[in-house]
Amino acid sequence: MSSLWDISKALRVPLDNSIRTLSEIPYTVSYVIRKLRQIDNLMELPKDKRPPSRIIWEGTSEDIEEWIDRVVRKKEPQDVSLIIGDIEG
Amino acid sequence: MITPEKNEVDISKLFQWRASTELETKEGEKTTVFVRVVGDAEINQSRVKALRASAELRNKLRDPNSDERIAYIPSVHALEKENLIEMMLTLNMREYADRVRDSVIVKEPKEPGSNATTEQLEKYQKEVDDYPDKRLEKFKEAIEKETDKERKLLNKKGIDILLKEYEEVVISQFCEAELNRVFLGWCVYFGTFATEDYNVRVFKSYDEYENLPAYAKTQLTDFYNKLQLGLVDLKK
Repeated sequence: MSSLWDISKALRVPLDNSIRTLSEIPYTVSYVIRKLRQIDNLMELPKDKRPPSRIIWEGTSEDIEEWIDRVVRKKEPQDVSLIIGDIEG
Repeated sequence: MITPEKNEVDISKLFQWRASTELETKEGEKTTVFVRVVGDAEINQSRVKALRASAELRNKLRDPNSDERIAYIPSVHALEKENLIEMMLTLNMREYADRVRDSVIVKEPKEPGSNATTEQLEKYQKEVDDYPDKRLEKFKEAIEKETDKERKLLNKKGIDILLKEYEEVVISQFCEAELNRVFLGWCVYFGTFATEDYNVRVFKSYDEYENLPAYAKTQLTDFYNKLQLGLVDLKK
């Protein structure tokens, strides 16, 4: 399906000619397209930062979000304060 | 079952999302109807209707005076504790499966490079073919462990608490069945047309669909289910 979608995009040929309006798109087809777009986006990430296929296919959208938060998005720098007491040792 | 095999699904089925069928009445009369897999908006509406129906049933089943409770919730007060626990374990099996699903990790076979020899490709294909059984085995083991753990926990509970929990498990099962039934019903209602251009629905309202004889609803839901690809195949 992935290669079919790539070809369809590249050639600008509709996947299904019989679909006349957006609302007619069966949810199965729109699911596959959404999923492929998600995978295309994830493949833009460097190889070592991509989520494992188990998360892509079996995980929820929250699982993928959590992975991206953990691996890709930089954490806000945390304030560090050093308390120096009067007593040494 | 999860499988790394991506080549067995028939892609053309994804595009066979509408077809006609004959709806047969009890008297043997046949009417042609046109069924299509519904879109995202209709799926969302069906989900909302199904959730409402499930919540309504849950309230009724929890009401000690409702007809639904009397009809559906079996009295298990006479059961031995051991039997009650086993019934609960059986009813909860799917929940245990969901719980352990993430912990069962079987490494997928590594795809050979483009310069792989035929023998390497054969070996890879064998690993792909064996993968579902290997994973199923691990999955069964994990469920058994989870069930044993749960059995021990339930054994520590008093009979009154167990009866209450059993009741909740049974209610949940009925509500889930109702959710699925109503969800599919709405999908079929939205997706069944009287004309070939898929512009005129067969049923004027959902109630009209609901009031069909059971055999007619089964005919339509079976046909609708055949038209849509399941989630497992969609992921391939």
